[in-house]
Amino acid sequence: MIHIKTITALSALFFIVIFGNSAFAQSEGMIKYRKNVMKSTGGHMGAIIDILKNGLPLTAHIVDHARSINQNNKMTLSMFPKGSGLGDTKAKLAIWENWAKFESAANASVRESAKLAKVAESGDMGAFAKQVRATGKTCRGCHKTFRERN
Amino acid sequence: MKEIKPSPILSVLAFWFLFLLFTPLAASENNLFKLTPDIPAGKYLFQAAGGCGCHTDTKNNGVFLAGGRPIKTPFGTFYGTNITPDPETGIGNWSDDDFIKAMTQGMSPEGVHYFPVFPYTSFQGIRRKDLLDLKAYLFSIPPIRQKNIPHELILPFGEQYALMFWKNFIWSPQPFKSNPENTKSWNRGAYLAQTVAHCGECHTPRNLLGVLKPEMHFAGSKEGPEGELAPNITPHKQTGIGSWSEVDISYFLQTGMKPDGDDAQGLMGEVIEFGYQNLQEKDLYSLAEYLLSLEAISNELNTDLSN
Repeated sequence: MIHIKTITALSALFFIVIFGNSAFAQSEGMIKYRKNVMKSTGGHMGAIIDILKNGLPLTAHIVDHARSINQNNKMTLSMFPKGSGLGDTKAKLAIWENWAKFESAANASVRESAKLAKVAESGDMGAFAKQVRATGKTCRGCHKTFRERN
Repeated sequence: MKEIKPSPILSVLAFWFLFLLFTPLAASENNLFKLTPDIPAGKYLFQAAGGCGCHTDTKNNGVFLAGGRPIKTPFGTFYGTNITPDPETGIGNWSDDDFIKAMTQGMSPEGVHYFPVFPYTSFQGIRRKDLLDLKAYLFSIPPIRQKNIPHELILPFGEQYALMFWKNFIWSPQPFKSNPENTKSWNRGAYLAQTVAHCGECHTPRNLLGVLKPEMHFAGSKEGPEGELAPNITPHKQTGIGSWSEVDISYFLQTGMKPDGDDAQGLMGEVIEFGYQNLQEKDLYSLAEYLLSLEAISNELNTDLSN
C-alpha cells in the first residue's frame, strides 16, 4: 500500500512539475512574444515621428507604418491570455482582473490606429500629425492602467 | 541788442506745460512698474510648472486644484493642499506677499514651515513678476470649499523644529542667475528648467537629508515622488538622453512620445498632459537647448525600456 501511495505522490509531483513548468514556459514565451510585438509597434511609431519631426522626404512610408501599427494593435488581446502574467513582465494583473476595461482600452488603440492609416492614405500631413497624437494617447491610455511603471 | 531775460511767469508756465505733457506718460510707466498682474501669463507659467497636479486628486476625480491627492514619499504620505481662491479652505485670503513667502520661503501666512515636498526649493528662483502673474491666475479659477487633509508623516520629519533646522542649516537656496555668456534662449531654458518647471525635484537625486545633490544635477533618481524612477536627463549617451536631439526633446514635451515610439507614463505623463504640452515651441526648444548643454553624467538607473 505504502508503495502505491509513494508512487501516486511521486507521479503527482512529477505531473505538477512538468505541467507547471510547461505552463510557465508558455507564459515566458508569450511574454517574450508580446514584448517583441509591442517593440515593433513602438518602432513604427518612432519611425513616423522621425519623419514628422525632421521633415524627412519619406512621407510615402507613413501609410505602411500606420497600417503596421494597426495590424499589431489588433493582436493585443490575444497576446494576453489568462495566466500569462507570471514572469519577466510589466503587465499588471489588473488586465485579467478587469478584462472588460482592458478590452476597451485595447480596442481604442485599434480604432485610432485604423484612422491613422486612413488619414495617412489621404496625404493630409497636418491631419496626420494630429492623428499621431490621438493614436499615441490610446497607447498611453492603456499603458497608464495596465503597464507597470518602473 | 536787448538781452532776453526769461520772465518768471513764462518759466512757471513752461514748467507746468512740460509737467503736464509728461505726466500721463510717467503715470502709465509707473503703472507698468507696479505690475498689473497678467492672468494669461500666469496661466502659461502654471502650465510651465506642469499644471500643479499634486494639488488635484485626479485619480479620485477630485476638483481642479482643490487638493486631497495623496503623495507617497520616503518621509510619509502628504496630501496636496487646496490652492483654489476659497478664503477659508484655500488661499483666497492670501496677500501678494503671503503668496511670495509661500513660494520662495516655504512658509504659510501663519508662519508654518512647509515640507519641501512642495517644491519651493525650485520656485524660490521664480521672478517676482512671474509669481504675481501666477497668483493672479490661481485667483481667477473657481474657489472650492474643501478642507485640507493632514499629512501622515514619519516622525520627526513633519515637526516644525526639524523643518526650521533643515531650512536654516541644511538647505541653501540658490537664486537663479542668468549667464550672459550663453544665448538668450539658453537662459530662458535654464530659468524654466531650474525654477518654474522644477525638473530637478524629481530628476536630481537627494542625499539622506533630502537635499538635491548638486553634483548629480538632473542625472536621475530612483526614488522620485510616488516611488517612481525619474530618468537621467543629462546628455549622457548611454545612461541619459544624449542620443536625443533638440527636436526629440521638444516633441516629447509636446506629446509625451519618446524617440523610440514609447510613451511617457506616471508623473511625467501628467506634467506633459496638464502643462508642458501647452508651452510655445520656442520655450520647448529653449528647454532642450539647456538640457543638452548640461554636463553629461553617467548614472545608470536600469531603466528597462522594454514592455
